[in-house]
Amino acid sequence: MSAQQPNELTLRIAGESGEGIITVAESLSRVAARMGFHLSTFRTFPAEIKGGACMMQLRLSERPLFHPGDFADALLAFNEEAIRANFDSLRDGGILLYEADIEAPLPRREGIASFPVPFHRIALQEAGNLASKNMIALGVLAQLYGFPIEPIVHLLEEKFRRRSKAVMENNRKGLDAGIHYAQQHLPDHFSGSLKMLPGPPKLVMTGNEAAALGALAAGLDCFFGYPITPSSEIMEYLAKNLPRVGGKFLQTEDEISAIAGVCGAAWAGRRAMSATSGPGLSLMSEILGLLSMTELPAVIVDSQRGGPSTGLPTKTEQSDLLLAVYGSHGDAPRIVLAPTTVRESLEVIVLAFALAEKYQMPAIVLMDQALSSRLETVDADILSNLPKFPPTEERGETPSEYKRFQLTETGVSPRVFPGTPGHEHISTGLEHNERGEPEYDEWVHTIMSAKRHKKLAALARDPLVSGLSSMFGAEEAEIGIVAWGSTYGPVTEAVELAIAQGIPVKALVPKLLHPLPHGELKAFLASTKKLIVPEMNFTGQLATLLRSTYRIPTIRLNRVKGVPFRAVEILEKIQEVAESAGRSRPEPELLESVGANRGES
Amino acid sequence: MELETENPTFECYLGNLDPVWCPGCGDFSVLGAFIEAARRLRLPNHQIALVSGIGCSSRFPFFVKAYGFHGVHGRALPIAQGVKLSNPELTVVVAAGDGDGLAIGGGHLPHVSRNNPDITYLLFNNSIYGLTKGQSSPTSPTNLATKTAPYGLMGESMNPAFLALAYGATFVARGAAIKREHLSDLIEQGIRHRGFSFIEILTSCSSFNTKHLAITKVLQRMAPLETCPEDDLEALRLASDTRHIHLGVFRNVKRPTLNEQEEHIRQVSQKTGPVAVGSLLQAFA
Ligand SMILES: Cc1ncc(C[n+]2csc(CCOP(=O)(O)OP(=O)(O)O)c2C)c(N)n1
Repeated sequence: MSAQQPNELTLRIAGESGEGIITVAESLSRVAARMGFHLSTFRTFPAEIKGGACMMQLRLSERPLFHPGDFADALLAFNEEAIRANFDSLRDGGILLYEADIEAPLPRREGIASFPVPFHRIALQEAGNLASKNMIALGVLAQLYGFPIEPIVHLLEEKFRRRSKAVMENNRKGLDAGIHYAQQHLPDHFSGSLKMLPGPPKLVMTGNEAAALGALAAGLDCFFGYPITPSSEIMEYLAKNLPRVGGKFLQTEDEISAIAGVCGAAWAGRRAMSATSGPGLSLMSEILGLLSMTELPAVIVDSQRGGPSTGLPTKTEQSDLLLAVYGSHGDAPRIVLAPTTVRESLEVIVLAFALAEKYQMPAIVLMDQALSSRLETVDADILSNLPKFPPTEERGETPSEYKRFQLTETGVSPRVFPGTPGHEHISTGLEHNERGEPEYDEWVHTIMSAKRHKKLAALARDPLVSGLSSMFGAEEAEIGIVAWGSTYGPVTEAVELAIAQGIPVKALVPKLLHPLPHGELKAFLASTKKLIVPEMNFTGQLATLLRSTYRIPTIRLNRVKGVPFRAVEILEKIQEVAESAGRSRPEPELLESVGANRGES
Repeated sequence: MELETENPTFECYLGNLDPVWCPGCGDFSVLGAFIEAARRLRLPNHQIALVSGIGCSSRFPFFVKAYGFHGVHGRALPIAQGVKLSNPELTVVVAAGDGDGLAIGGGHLPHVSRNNPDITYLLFNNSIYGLTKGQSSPTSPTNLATKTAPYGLMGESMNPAFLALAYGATFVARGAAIKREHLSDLIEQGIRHRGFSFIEILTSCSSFNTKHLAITKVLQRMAPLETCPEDDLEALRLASDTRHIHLGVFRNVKRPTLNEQEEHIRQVSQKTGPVAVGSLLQAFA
């Protein structure tokens, strides 16, 4: 992507954590959303507790966006390291705005226009304090790209409402100084690239906020959790807002206690959830199996980060899929879902509650750091048209005949909550008969295992999940892509780019990952000759599932760089596969994955 | 909270299943003591929620006519906490062994004590792993040779009541299976107590720990507490006494329960009444 797209803008702002970079990017995001733009962002988090490099990229467009963009039109950098680390992310013809104090020789590339801006000096001389450096940057960018100033001031006033008057005055001084500087010293032809759009104002939120809101919309009663990056914001949002809507929140001593609390609340008949990341999901796996065995609903969000072990705590990865699908001893059925966008993070959580409750088993929702922390626009009507589902307590005909684990057509048995007179019964993690009493003979275990798994088959046929996968691209294409989670964004753009270059390609992105949506996948795979599976993991976890389920060869594209795919990385793979279409076989799997992980892009 | 009969009998609380414990196991007596307490409290069966972990003692819920949840090893307490937090109407009682509650699940005890949910916790202390047939437990005395400590045990033996006192449980008592009447009385008090009630129950394993709890010896050392100690230091001293095994209530104090604290937080958060989910969207505009 070498040219700036019409009515589209990608900005990258980089510096040291604590310099207020996120405030700049977030303010511009909010104002753009109020103007009716669609937007998507990406930010990195330093691994250090205080300080460390920090960057946020913000892309806005008149059409919906689910990818923060491969390359930036402009890079604003506060220090030398920020320039070096981000210079390659500038598109050809892009501009670099950098701190004029930097003395070291700067990287150069033909077609990049560089403008030194004395942020430091203006901050000290005109705004009177160094802290307003970021406000100067905000003013410079706003002026350069023709953002309306009033809404920015309004937004800052809202943001700093609780702070002293002096803070806002300083902010205003900095903002004006930045605007003034840009008017005097920077070219004015960029401002034409953004036009005010007629679209309705939109909301801006992160994937984590959307997930937490989704839980509230689904009627969450109880949340139990233990903090872990990058999922903590879900917990923090619910700590603040769940009590406000009448629910209950408990920070537990670890993730085992958290899922135990979820289990207890679910048994008591309440809607309960937890949110965690890979290390927490690992700890939860024993009780996940208990939930499968005692047939209780639960929703667990796993915002994935680089693993194994503590891995890359602040970076993104999609490497918990197999843990989510299989992680527990024994045959422990559960539902696994993966939203692809911020909006879907909300919708998929609601669906997870509906399915978990209907099929009486845990549902794991896989997000990832990039999706969890990225800001994206969503429509203001996001809470309408969500599935409604009343609590599913169902009493047997007469108490004496009540069987909690009764064998039925779908495998789903009538669920009665403690406190109901006459229906006293036991739930146990031991294998049990229909009444819930321990019984381990070979037939009971066979029949009950089948019963519990039958529910997955019924779920796969449920209208709630039909048509849930995204399908796009050239229908007749022989090259197909199957991807999951937030990789959806770059895949949509790679497919568009390939088609524009005359390479027919199509894609399917399932949101339901367990059980896999066989109907949709089989039809898609039947008409696909070459299947590319891009994933942010090393071993190709979805590819593994697809190969073992459908016995098809896959062409893997694996990246574990801790950042989302660029669309061009996927495009290059499509081109390569299209070129080798004449050859009979894809390259050997292993070599390919080693090559991919050597870092070439 | 209507009971079908004015005066429930012992049989009203017996579950469908017969206990699977070995002949001579102390747990029978604990079951009897619990049912006697439930009968005296006239607890409606459907309001009783019994939660347990894994172990011989954790089979307890199967033998009572009530709602029962038999989960995984060591997690009875946090599961019960979830039950009580979400449905305060239920009378929640937990049964756990000394391995279940102090080894694998030991990390939960300080936190549940701190949270103070209105739960009664029966810790069956037989100083051995019963279900898995005779390995050392955290309360095994150092001189006890077991299958996993054939040459003697490493580590000091834990004192459950002492720990619960130190963790701040609001009701702490010690009883013994062999003193069934007294135990029944403690369980009744524990259930009546509003807050977390920790009851250590000295019980015996007739199959794998016959030596340690040679009944006559232990009986000689048992000393009932006349009254509940006034202060914590005295309570800790009595609980840790090695010459006598004091039985009775070591602490009985009031502190807001988990549900009361939750209710308070809910009220604080709702300055002007409950909020509709839709109104939360404003913050994202
Ligand atoms: C995660 C896990 N580890 C180990 C076990 C095996 N196990 C079951 S019960 C038990 C100990 C039982 O001793 P205790 O808790 O003291 O109860 P008791 O049987 O003596 O009543 C063990 C080690 C298990 N079920 N789960």
